[in-house]
Amino acid sequence: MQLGFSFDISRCSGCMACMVACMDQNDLAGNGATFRHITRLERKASPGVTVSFLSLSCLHCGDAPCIMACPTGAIYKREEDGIVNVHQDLCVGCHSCALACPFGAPQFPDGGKMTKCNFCLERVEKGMEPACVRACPTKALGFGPIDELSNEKADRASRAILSSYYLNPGAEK
Amino acid sequence: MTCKQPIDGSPVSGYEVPEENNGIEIHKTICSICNPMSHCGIDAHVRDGVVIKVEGTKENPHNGGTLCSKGAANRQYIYHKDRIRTPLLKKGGKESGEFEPVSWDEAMDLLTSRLLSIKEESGPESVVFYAGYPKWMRPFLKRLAHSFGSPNYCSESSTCSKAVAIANQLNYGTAGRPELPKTKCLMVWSNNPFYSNTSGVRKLLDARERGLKIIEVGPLITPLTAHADIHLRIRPGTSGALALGIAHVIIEEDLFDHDFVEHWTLGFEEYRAYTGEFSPHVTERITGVPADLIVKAARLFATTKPASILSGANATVHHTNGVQNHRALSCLIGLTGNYDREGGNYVVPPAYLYVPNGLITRQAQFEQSRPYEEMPPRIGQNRFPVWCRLVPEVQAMHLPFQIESKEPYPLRAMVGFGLNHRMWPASNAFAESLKKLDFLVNVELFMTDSARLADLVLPACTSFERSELKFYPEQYVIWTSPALEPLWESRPDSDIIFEMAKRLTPDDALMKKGYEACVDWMLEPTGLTVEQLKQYPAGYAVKDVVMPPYEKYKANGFATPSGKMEFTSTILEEAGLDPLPRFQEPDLNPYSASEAAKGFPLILTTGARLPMFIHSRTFRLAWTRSLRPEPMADINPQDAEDRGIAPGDRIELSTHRSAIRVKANLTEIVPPGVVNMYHAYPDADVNLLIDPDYLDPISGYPGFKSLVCEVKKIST
Amino acid sequence: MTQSPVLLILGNGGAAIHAVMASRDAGHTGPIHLVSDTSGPAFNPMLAPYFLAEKIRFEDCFPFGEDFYDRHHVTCHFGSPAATLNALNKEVLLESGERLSYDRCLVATGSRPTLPSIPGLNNSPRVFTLRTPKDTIALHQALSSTKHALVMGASMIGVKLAEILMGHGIKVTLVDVADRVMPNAAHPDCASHLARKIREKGVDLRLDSRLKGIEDGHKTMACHFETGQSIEADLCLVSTGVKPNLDFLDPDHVELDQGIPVDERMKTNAEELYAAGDISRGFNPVTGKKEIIGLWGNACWQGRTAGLNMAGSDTVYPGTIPHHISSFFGLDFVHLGNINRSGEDVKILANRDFSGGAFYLLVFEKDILVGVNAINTISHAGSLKSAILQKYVWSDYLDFRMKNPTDEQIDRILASFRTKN
Repeated sequence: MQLGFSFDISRCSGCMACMVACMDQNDLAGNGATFRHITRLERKASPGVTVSFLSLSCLHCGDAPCIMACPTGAIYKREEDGIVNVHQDLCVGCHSCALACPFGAPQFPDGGKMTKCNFCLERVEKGMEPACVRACPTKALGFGPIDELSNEKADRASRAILSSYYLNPGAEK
Repeated sequence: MTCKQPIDGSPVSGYEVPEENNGIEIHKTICSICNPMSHCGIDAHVRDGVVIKVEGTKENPHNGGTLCSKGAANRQYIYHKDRIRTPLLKKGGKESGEFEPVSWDEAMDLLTSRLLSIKEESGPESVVFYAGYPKWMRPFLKRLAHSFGSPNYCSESSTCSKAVAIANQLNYGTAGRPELPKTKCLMVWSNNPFYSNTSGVRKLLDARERGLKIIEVGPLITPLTAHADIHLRIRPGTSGALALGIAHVIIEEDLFDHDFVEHWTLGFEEYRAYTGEFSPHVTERITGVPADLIVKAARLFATTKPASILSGANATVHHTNGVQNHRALSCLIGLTGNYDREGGNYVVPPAYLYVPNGLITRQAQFEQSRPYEEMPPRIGQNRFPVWCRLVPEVQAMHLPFQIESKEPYPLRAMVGFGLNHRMWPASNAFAESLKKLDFLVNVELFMTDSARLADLVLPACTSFERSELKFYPEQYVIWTSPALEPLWESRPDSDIIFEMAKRLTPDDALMKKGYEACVDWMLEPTGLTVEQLKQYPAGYAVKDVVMPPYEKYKANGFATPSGKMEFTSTILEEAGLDPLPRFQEPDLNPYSASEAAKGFPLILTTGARLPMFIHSRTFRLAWTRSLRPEPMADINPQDAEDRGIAPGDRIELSTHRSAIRVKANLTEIVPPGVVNMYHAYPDADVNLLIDPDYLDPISGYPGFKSLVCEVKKIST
Repeated sequence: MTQSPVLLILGNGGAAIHAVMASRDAGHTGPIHLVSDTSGPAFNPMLAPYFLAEKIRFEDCFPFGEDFYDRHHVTCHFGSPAATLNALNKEVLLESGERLSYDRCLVATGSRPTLPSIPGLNNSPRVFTLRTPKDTIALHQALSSTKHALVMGASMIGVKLAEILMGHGIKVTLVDVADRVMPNAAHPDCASHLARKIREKGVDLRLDSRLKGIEDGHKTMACHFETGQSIEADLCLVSTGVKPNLDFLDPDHVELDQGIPVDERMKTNAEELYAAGDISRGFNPVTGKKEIIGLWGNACWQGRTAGLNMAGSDTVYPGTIPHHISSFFGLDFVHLGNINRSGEDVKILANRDFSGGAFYLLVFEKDILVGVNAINTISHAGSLKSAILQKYVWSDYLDFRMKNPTDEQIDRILASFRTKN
């Protein structure tokens, strides 16, 4: 089973509740190293501009490049849920993982060992949701087994298409 | 009581899920950082008396387990090193920043003796009682003030929400809110629910998914804009003109509710004639909104049934023409037959502390322990007669004027709960006025600049450390219990107020009975009691609440002098003011020839919301501050380029009055010609730039959102 | 082939080990033979500096453990490297005399340090290189009696070793024939900042500097420069380059080009012969050329690809660009791709004055990012590497007139690429 995050960019307002919930969960110092990160995008539209926000943390990739890059084998993928985690005692802080990750997930808060989003594994093990998912006020963030998430997305997309038929004034019910 | 926590930043938790055998318990409480529309339910994870994690409470129907970035940062709020630990007495003179710790007994003895002697010498009216944020203790403070004999209770409502209420009262006598699940077209007017109402916005998105039409009105591009069918991007301060322009189309195309207008309104003919002046082209010239969009929006709003208007608490009224602006937009609800109708702006009176949910309490009777007629005139009574007629508070913007003038009587003391002098325009001048008081008390959580102005500072505690009554719109009520003991020597504001009552108003028999008894007294019509609510620490879902019927006016008329909806306001007419919702340019605008406007070609709007801050409340928390570390002004890239300003440059933002230095944030969310500066930064206080009398003459609200300014790059 | 093929792996480094794991993961049940000049568990030379800096134990330099071979059912032929490989007969002769036949073979013999041809260098017991476990132990033992070290080669590893030696209280003279430090990894503007910092920290850095001879003395060695200057050192540590171990290969059987060219499947031009790791020249997808990219991660990916393909899968690995991230002397340093491009299609964006304690140098060719240097602002290194590999066109998002690129701007541009629709 592989856990994954789902993210509905149309619902995200860049409120950053997910970032702070994660800081609270992991006692981060709030000086820059964050496990979840919001980027604000402004793109010219006609007229005006469209603003959207991208919330990203570690994606716990299937073929995680950080695992291959790590010289000591400190980074590993859990069998039961696909979470990519770090054995802190094996990490030498070489930053190879940071260079391998296309998403900037590895963090070095004290300049020393690597730490990052661990999918709130202490929570998911007990059937809870990750802290970021819980906090999200617009329900833009979700999580679950990857194959179930794909179904949800398809479901929402179908409803969006169908609703335009039912709710258009003048259309037949 | 000492606090075991490291005082820099939050306590370190080493996370564990709360379980029976690991000593981590979940205490239910609420977050009190932002406004009464939220106050999200919180699960505080507590181990050894220390909060190690906060989460949203899932079973609370209001926030449903979610939190905003501020609520999620509560641990840094509760355990912040700037929290005041003991009562503090100022050493040395008014200019001194030095304080010495004193005991609560000493503090209260001093407070009692000073206030009683000032009352003796100058009358109780010379003492002002003020409530900032949060708002939960207001009924008790207001009652205390009036029982003490002072009419002068005021609050942060002097700049928030009451002016909108005034506008609605002038039109309708009451105010209705959109019945969101049932409305089919929502006009969101100067409101950014994604940042100001995080606990409710998911319901808006869900309604959108079900096909809700949305019209957004406002100068800025917000997260709502992507979800809006039409965005009417107005020049700041021109809401009134836009509303009249929309009314013009609705009336001209005969899309208004004839029945309602004919039977239930006053002054329609004058209104109709006046809106005749606001053709789409004229309105476009004034507001900047394209004529075709005005027409499109008007038609959509008028022909979609039911429709409603959601407005912000203050963005439409933070203008020198504010109340009339809001009246104009509010008229559209009645004009289209959506007032107090199903799916329209449904009238449900506030039950407790601004929140409507179908219940009724005796809050209003409780707090007005003495009618105004039996007390000396309020501060600003002559200057703001309409305010005083409709709002049971003082308009606090007049405070500095009366402190200076001493007319009609001197002001000698002020007891503030969360007084932040930066709320006032010309905030530095207000700080100087406050220093002229003989005795200033500030009850605060943190040692702010405003606290430093006081003679006596009393430490309040957070919502996690006290009990309070909270009503939610979803017929959900909670009497919170403390998740932890008050830290150091801080106390709940209620404790402080009731102690003051014991000493200052011993004849108030009800207050004498104590806090819970007073709450029970207010709750009486609901059948709920504090004891009962204590059984439900996470909150109680009240069953079988009978919501008021729609179209109550059909039975009772409107609560206006004429008993009808008033396009021409009787109250305004009686006050010698224009009865129609007359549009006027903001006093400072780019076309103004006044001295104050010359040389300031850009429009300045202030006070918009950021998701990680609310006013000044979370600047000092490392987590929220890290999300936007520096004070920045939003500038359109074209205006920036014209001035040689690159992203991140340091700039000077100036008005005729003053200037502040901030960083430039180049963004298209502001239209060309408009600068948007966020407020409340102690190190870049935009209210320094505003004159103290730059106020709406009806409501007394400062024109925070329509000013003129210039911006120039400064070299590092 | 009706039975499970016999796989032969020459080498015992990252590429070899990942080839073993991958072939077993892909379901190969037949024999796997592994040949190495060393014995015992696989060593990661990247970790040797951490051991020398006393951050980890010696055993931590062997990340796969002793029991790896048993667990993966590998027949080991340790202590005897390959002497010749006959790619036509598919047979390898080991130095011990043993002959091994294979169905498929992976050459992953890596490279060895070279010594510049300077008189006295070759035979001196005070001259060290750092590549193998033996080298590591020897250098470690020599440290306690070393007061002054000469480090040859101001490459990234040379600079790192200089720092480690100084951490042991050893005075360091760091020498390079190039006129700047890290000539392949650092743009001149970047290199000058690094050199300044290196000197500030007390290293005697001599660039554009040639040695003409080494003389072993009783207690120390005399190191003579072409300028006529000399210094006394207790130890000389050489990190001037490496050479691939391919002496056992016949250029008539296998195409050789200072390394073994391979395709995306790690195949050489010889039948059923694969190569991976520092010995191979794999694709650099940005330059389109085959290059030796001597990086641990690359070796692992190549080994894994070879292993999967040798086990019957069909997998490709598109290759990578040179990339380094390193901390030394209080600086974090990143190098990606090619920072030495020039010409009219090349634009460089940099805050050359090192404003705000951070340095960015971005090299674009036809508006596509091809090279990066960064000092102290390394949070986007991985994303920028990905941007180089994906050949994103930056012109839609980046104003090339911009003077100082900031983290925030770069973050937004990267996010724009990710959410393009």
